[in-house]
Amino acid sequence: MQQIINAIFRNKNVLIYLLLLLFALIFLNNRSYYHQTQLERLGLRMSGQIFEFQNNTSNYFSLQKQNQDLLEENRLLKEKLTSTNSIDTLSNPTFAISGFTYYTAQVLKNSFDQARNQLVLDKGSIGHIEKEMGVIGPHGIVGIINETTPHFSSALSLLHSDVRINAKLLKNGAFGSIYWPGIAANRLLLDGISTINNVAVGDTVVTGGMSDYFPKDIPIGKVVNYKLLPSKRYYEIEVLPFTNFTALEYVYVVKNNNKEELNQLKP
Amino acid sequence: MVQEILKITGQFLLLILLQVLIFSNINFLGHINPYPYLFFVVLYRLDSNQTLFIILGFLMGFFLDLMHQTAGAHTIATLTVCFVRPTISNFAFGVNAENNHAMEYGTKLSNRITFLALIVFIHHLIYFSIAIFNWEGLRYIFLNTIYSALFTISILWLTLSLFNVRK
Repeated sequence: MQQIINAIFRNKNVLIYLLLLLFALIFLNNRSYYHQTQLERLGLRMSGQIFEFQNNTSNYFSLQKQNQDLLEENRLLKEKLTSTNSIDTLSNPTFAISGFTYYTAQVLKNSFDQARNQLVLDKGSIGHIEKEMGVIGPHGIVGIINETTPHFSSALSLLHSDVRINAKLLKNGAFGSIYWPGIAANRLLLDGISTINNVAVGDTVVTGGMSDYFPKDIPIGKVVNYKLLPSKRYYEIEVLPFTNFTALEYVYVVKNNNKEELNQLKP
Repeated sequence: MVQEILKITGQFLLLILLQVLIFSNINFLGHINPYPYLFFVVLYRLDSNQTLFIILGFLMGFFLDLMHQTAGAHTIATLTVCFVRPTISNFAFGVNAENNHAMEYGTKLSNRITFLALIVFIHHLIYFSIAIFNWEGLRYIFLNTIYSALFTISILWLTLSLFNVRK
């Protein structure tokens, strides 16, 4: 014991230096958004490598299941393709301006047990991934890209308490915003739906066209429960997401080609 | 002893004020500023309490960061240079390292210049590295370090020569 205390006293300058340095680094991290993102990027680069290795190994064992999912998705897409072809796209202005480009990516790391969950994807700026692009899974929306390095990118999951996305009810187009209140990975809340609209359990919730990140009508989930807010003017609707956030493998990253142009119109 | 404490406190506050009010607003050729608050690091007696010196260095950087609205660059740079000062003084003065007033009495000119330049260069290099914090800005970090360091060293040297009449 005496020796430990002696050792501490002998090295007290080094200890104090390290302690104060740590404090200064925390200070730096909290005070400057620039330094925060740079440090995050460094962390992302390191963890990206590790998770890529881990994922490559574990992926191999779930190939069968993934193939089935892909087949199923292909089938759905083909169905959709045939149904869109029957619409006259040229005379319909919404199709003409809906300029979205899709990129595929693989999920390296995915958390769903924190208040602010994030995903790490295996593609970065070299793979055309940019900040603020939307992320869509095979069953519905997943999140928004918030940071990229040349080979990796991280996305805020829809299960991130700061993310709010414009959403609407498929059947009558009433829109509000959807967010995650925390707690369970399979409950989202949709608010801002006025009581003049009709809501029923089982209704489908899809993205509204007002978000810059996602094309409209991408599925989000279905209504499992709803209640009136005390003001009696808005509903608070519980939504079960179609995406299983605990088992994500492949995702699509969506780029809104018209975003810059749209931003110029905004105040 | 009390006199010593008062002297250090006065020096400490005066240097912070001078730095914030005058020297950080020089903006020579657009962006080059000297950081003569390093006077404190240079003048602190070599035989005084090193632990206190580290804490004071930290506080000085911290106050400057708060006043400059910078994130933490002054703190880390000043703290580090205070921490490594014994090594620098050993290197610069060699056998004369026991001399308590490093910059004042009877040391060789070359030793004093080495001591001063090392402190200023190390401090500025750390400061600009953290302030810019980007690999692409490497050239900018070095240029800024060199220009600002030359500026700081000349100011420190001139002031020391002015007040250093007791030989």
